[in-house]
Amino acid sequence: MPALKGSLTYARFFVQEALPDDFRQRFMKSIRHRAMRPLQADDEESQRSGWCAVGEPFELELDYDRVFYDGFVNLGFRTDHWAIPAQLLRAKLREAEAAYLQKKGRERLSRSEKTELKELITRKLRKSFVPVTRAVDLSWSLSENVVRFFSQSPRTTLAMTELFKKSFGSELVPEAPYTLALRLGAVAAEDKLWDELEPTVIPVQER
Amino acid sequence: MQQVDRIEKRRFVGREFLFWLWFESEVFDATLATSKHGPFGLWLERKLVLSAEKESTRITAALPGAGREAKEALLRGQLPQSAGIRIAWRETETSFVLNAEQLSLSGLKLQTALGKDEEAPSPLLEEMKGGGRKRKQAPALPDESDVMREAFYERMRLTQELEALLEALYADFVALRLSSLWASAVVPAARAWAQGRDVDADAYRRARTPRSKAQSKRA
Repeated sequence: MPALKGSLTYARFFVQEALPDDFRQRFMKSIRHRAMRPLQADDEESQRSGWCAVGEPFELELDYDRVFYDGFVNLGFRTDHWAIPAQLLRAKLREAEAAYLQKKGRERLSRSEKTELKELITRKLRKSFVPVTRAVDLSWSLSENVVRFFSQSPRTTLAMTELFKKSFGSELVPEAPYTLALRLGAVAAEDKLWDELEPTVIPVQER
Repeated sequence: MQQVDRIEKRRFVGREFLFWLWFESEVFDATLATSKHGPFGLWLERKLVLSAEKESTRITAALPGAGREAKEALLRGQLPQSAGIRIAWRETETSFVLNAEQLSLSGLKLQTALGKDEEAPSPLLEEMKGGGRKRKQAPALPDESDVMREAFYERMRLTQELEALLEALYADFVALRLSSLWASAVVPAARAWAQGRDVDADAYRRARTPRSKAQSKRA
């Protein structure tokens, strides 16, 4: 729970759009709509993401008090995925293919039969596993228009920014030397000097 | 230039910012200042990673920037990619790793007063201290969620204060980087420092301080 405990590793994002007047009601509606729906063995997806309570990946009843802290929107970005060992899947698939061929009295399976069998075995195996759950804290400081996301994994970040856009209608701008300089007013929007910057060369040629 | 190029093709500015922090912290004996915050301690500690294309140098030491290895890497054209930094300000110390191209922080350790994992006293130790039988009833604890919220606000306040300090340094750096003083004052002094030559701190400070508006603004 990096937002609440322990050392912090995070990336910052800027929200450019202004908050709508009725943002509290709107956001709560949208957050509830996109709250995490835990993966089930029969679901077609092998991975799913959604919101959960900050610091509590299994708390999916998101009410106002859990989400709104004075001036902050705090959420957990939860992702579930199935992690069935590949060796086990291969072994079970071989068994199933052999049984199927014997039953049909054939020597080969068509491509579609193979795919269908793989799906069947995967679903069957899922029933003996639980999905892997991972949650990353997110804290949106409304007065600063800054979102702190407590992960620096590009894949998780991409998935979170997509869900954020769907939930709040805002594009997140990631922190970078340019975006920060712009936000601080240290450069203008189309600053020629910034555009013309060349990397500083420290080595001395005649060394 | 497209917005995406201003972001992606100028990420080296983040490395130069980290380089400048390192250079100035050594020249000014680990004491930097901003007009907003006044003087504070800042130095590189524990870890420094420099790189250029496929070549990289990783240094793990108490003061990783102080040795020749780091400067030699600079002289081979590498710039800092990430570094452990410690900041001492207002009687508190904060440490973190700054990732230069993203300007993101890792492993930020805050000196919080609330929300610490305090271990329950060991009954055996209590008894050895002679307090085993006279244990007082624990005072009523505040609601857990209130404690959690207060700890969160404190963490965010400290994080925002640190970010404000880094932003003030970054704004000063960008102003300097876009001015003619970068090439005329900072780069020559930084080269001398990287080569192991002494840099006169006062002369450097004077040289990199704008004397006119024209000098401070644009190259």
